[in-house]
Amino acid sequence: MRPILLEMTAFGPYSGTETIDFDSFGKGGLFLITGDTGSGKTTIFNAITYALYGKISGEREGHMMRSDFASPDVTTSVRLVFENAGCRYTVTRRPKQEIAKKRGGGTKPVNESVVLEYDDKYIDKKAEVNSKIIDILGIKFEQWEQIVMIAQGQFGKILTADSKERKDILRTLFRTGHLVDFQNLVAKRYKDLDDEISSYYSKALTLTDSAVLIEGSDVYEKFKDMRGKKEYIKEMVELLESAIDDDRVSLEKLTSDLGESDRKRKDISARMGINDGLIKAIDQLNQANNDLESLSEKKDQIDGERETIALLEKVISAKTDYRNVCDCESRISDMRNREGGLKGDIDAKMEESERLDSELAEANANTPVIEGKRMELQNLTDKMDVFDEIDVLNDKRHRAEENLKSLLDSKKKTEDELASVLDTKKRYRSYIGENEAAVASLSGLESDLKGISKVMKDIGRLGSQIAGLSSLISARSSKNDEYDGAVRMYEEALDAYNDAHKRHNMSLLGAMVDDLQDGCPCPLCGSIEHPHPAAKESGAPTKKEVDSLKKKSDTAFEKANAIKSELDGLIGSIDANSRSVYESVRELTGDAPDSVEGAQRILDTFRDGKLVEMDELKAEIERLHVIDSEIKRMTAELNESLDKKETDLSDRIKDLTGRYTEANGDLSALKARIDEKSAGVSNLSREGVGERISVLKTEISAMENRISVAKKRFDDCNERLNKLKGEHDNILKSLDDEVRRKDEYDTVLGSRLFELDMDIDRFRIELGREGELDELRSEVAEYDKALEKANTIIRSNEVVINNREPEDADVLKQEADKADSDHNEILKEHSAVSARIQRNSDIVSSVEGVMEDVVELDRMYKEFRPIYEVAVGSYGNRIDFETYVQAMYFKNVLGFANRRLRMMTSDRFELVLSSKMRDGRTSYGLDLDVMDAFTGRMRPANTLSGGETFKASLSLALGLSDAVQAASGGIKIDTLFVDEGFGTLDAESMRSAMQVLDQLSTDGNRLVGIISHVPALKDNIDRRIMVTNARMGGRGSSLRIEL
Amino acid sequence: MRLIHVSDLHIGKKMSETSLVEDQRYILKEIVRIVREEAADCILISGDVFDSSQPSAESTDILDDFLTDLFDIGVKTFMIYGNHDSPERIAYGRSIFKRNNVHVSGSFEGKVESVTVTDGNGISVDICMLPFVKPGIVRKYFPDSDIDDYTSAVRTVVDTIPVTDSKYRVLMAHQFVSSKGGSPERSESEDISVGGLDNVDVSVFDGFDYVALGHLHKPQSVGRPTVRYCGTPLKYSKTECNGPKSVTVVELNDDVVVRTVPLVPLRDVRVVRGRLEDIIDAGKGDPSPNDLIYAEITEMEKDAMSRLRQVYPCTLNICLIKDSDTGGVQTSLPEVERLDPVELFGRMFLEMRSMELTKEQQDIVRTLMEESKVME
Repeated sequence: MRPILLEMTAFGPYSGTETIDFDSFGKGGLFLITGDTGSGKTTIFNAITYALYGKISGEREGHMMRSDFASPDVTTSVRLVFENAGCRYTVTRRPKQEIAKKRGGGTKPVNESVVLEYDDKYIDKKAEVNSKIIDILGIKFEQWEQIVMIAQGQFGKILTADSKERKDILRTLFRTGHLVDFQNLVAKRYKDLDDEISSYYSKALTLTDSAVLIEGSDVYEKFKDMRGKKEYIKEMVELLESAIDDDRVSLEKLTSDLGESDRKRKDISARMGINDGLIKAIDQLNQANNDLESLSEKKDQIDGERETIALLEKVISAKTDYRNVCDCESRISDMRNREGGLKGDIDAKMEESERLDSELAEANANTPVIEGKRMELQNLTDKMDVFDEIDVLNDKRHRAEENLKSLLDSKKKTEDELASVLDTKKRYRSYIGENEAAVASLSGLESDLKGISKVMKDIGRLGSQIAGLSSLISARSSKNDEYDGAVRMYEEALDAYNDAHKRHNMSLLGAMVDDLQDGCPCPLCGSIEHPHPAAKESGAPTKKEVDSLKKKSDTAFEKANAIKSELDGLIGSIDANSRSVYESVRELTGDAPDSVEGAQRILDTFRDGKLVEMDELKAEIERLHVIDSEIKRMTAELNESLDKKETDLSDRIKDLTGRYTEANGDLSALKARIDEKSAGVSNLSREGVGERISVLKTEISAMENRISVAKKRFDDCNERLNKLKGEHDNILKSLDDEVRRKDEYDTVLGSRLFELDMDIDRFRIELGREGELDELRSEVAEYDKALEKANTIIRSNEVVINNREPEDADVLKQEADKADSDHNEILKEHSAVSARIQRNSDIVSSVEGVMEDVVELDRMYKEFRPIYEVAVGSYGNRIDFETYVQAMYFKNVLGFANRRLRMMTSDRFELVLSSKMRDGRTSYGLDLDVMDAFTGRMRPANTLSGGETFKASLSLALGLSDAVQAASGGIKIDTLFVDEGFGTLDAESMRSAMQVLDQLSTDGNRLVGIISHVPALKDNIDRRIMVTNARMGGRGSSLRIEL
Repeated sequence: MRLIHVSDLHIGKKMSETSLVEDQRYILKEIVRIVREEAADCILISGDVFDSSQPSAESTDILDDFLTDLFDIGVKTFMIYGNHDSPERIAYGRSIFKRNNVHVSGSFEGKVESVTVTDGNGISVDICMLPFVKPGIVRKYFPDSDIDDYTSAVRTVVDTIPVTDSKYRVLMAHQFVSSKGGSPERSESEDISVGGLDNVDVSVFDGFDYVALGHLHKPQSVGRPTVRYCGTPLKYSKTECNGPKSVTVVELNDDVVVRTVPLVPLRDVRVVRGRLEDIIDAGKGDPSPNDLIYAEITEMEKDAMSRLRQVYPCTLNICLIKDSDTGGVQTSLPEVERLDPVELFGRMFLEMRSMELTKEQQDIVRTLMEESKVME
């Protein structure tokens, strides 16, 4: 199996259709399938597997293979073209799935389907395809997955598969299944043989049981004790043989007795036969003599009859001549009769002819009358034509009148239309005239509207000025309050300062007093004694505090002043603004306001008035615009269509009038023609003329018919007459001839009668006796014959009797009966003995035959038993033949595998069949060990490291493939996939693995697909399938082939 | 004008998990010594500088030292990348290197870089640096050319190199070059390009006076003496044990003369063969016990590796050589295919019962096999 082309649609991670042309890799191809993890590298193998087997391991349901990224209306399918044993196959599979409906929402189920095509065959039944593919490939799904794919994470599987599993693989690959059949057959034969031997013994015993022995005889007694015993078979046979010998002696005596009695019996029987013959002969002689006597009595009568016969024969010889004369006479009489008849006929016909002639003349007399009637008919036919012509003309007139009427109608309608056009024109013109002036005022009104709009703007501006003024007035009032507050604060601050200032000065004085000491002069009074120092002022403000209060009061003063100046400013601008606003209001409305509120009121009233005015104006303008557009439409219609319509209609009326006049003239002419024609037939009616024509035609035809009938009758009669005359002449002539002939015959007959010496009457009587002749002849012959017979019997019996006398029959009979019964007695005895001999001899020979066979079977059994034991493995190490052969194949596989493995491991490892010692013999099944050159020890294959396992399983898979390829009866595996595993190899191992794989592509026609993302492989393998994962776009993967 | 030609340094390479760092440092120093002693004008390094496209820090360090040493003795250095190298990594810093007479090829972009060198005698030589190329990449830059294999790819590129009035033209390349006369000798340590013919016919280099090739590991000329693989500086596999390594020296004066200077490694790579005991006995007196050893033993021995490493600590591999070793290749049909089923059964019978089938037994077996369709 070698893939040629693979096409996957919406399969696995591939959303679209991906096609791989394996052929482009060449026949012995090594190619790399690479790409990101999870992008769908292994899917390519899965797709091939699915196409072939309809399933994928781990995924039993086909619909699971549908791509998650597939567009909902795309059907998942896989098509694989492959080649096997030189034949090309195409298999297309589609799993069961749900796809979007073409129209409307929702999905619809698509059923699983599969088609296999090759040569000119087309199979679409699933079961049939599946079994056909197994047939083609030679391997089943499970084996396919195991042999063709060295799967990711399962490299060890083929290496460590148990014996049974491996046995199945080897059975399929090397077709050892027949060996199992062989083993089964051997086992069956062995059992059959065993059974057969037993059955022979029981057959021999049954046979001896049926021996016939004389009860009570010596043999009988001995035999009784041996019956049913296998070991006595031989003795029983010997006993039987002696019994047979005894019987043979008795039989010999019986046989000779039998001969004697038989002879005696035959003698008597012969004597009886002779005696019976004699008695019969005597009887016959007597009878014959009697017959002879009665015959002689009839002799005279018979002689008379002989004479009569002679006479009659002579008469009969003249019979022809007599007949001739008679015939002539009767013919002549016939002719005479006919001649008379004809003569009568001729006379009658002549009479008729005369009558018919006169009838014809009578009919012909009508000819002038017919001519007259013909002329009248012609005249009337002409008149009939005139009537027809008038009918045609009337028809024409009728049509002309109708035409005239329709022309009149058209004209009337057109005139109505013209009137309506003229009316419309008039209406339009008067409307335009009425409204032109109003439309002309439109521009004035529009400029008025603009004026009002401008006034409205002024009102708006003035309104906002008034609002500004109002806010200034309210600002002034709050400023005023503020100013009052500031003045108050200043006054308070000033008071506080004055108070503090006073208290501070007092405290300064107090301090001086504090420092007074006796002896020191007082700074105030200069006294050096200080009996009453002034009391000290406590809690007085410091200088700093006083200064601060001073500053506060100054600030309050300044603030009040500032507010005052702001207030003054406000008052000033209110004055100025209010003057200007009031003036503006007056200018606009004519009313002079005296306050802000007043100004606002006046302005509001004024604006309301203007708004009403503006609305009215707008309505008027709109109305006039409608009228204006109407006028424009009418004018356009007047100019463009109505005038033209008027002209057209007038032209049409003129035309119709002309046509009417013309048609009227035609009608008049027609009427004149009709009148003219009618005058010619004025006094006639069409029906009258028609009737007359038909009467005339009937009359003419009747007369003419009469003439022709009379003529025909006359002619026919004459013709008949002539024919009768001819016949009459002929008869007369024939009559003459016949009379002449009769004379001749008469002469001949006369001479014959003379010879007979008879007159004609006697002749006629004798001739009448002709019928008696036969009877007379037979009577005579019978007599002669009887006479002859009697004489013969007499002669022959006289010879037989020969003057002998017969014996007594009864005595003879008694003698015979006695001899018979004696003979039968002996015969019975003879048969019994003979049957016993036969029976016992048969038994002896059968038993001997059976025993001979048993000897042969026993010998065969001894030959066969070892074969059986070896074949089914019931001997020695319990290996059956199939396993033995498989082990040989497997050793061969290992030879191939080791060739690869040694290359990959620098000769370090070697795979060997594990062997066990048992009963001193080496036995081997199909288990594998590995020989490690480093340690010199065997170890089970499952103890290898990851990289080593990969190398070993790769080698084994390739070896298997090599061996199968090389085997003559094996199946062909031209394809191998290796899934990952290269990651486990170091650079050096990788290099040797590549060398091994490269050999494959050069020395085997095998397609090897390496599935891997290991970058180093990309450098070494140029033929690649690059799988790109486009998961980010949610579009599934896609692939690209690089060569 | 004297050129030194080396290639396939494979810096960072390990053999059977054994590091070769010291061996590589040593041999590069040796190369520098030879360059100096030969007073060469130029050294050409024809690809596979590193063993991996992602070299380790240690590896780049080794190359750094090597280039620095070369710069110090004033030789002009030319280096292209091979199939093992990452073009971008090799080309790192090339513009700066160039100012210091170290010329490194950049990633191939359709053009071959060419440098003209003139020596003290006025002999000028064009040195053209063609890095490792595949048909795929060449096709990209020459879409109109008919490129279907390596030969046509390399020919297309080489034909675009302009001819100047220099006296000699030298080409550096890293390809698998073969001639009609015969296939070059290959070594186990080389990479193979799988699934296609990757060879370049030597005729494409007809326009060059000397072609300094890299890629094959055994020193050899292809087609003519002046198209040459100089080989690896070290033995990198068992198959190379018997071939000494060298650098190639090219003299371009009145004539083109090619000769070699042998390279002596720090540790040799050797094969020892025989019974394990004999190898160990002989090894005890071996003057170079630290050589890298491939052992081929004639009998399977328990714990062979650990015992051998006591004598040769750097043993790389042990394999068993069988007397009738045909390399595992089946020369004729295997017995199981050759014998008919009856004979097979006879063989099993003999093995199991130590006696031959009688003639009669053979007939029985044959009949039964025919009945069960084994014989078909």
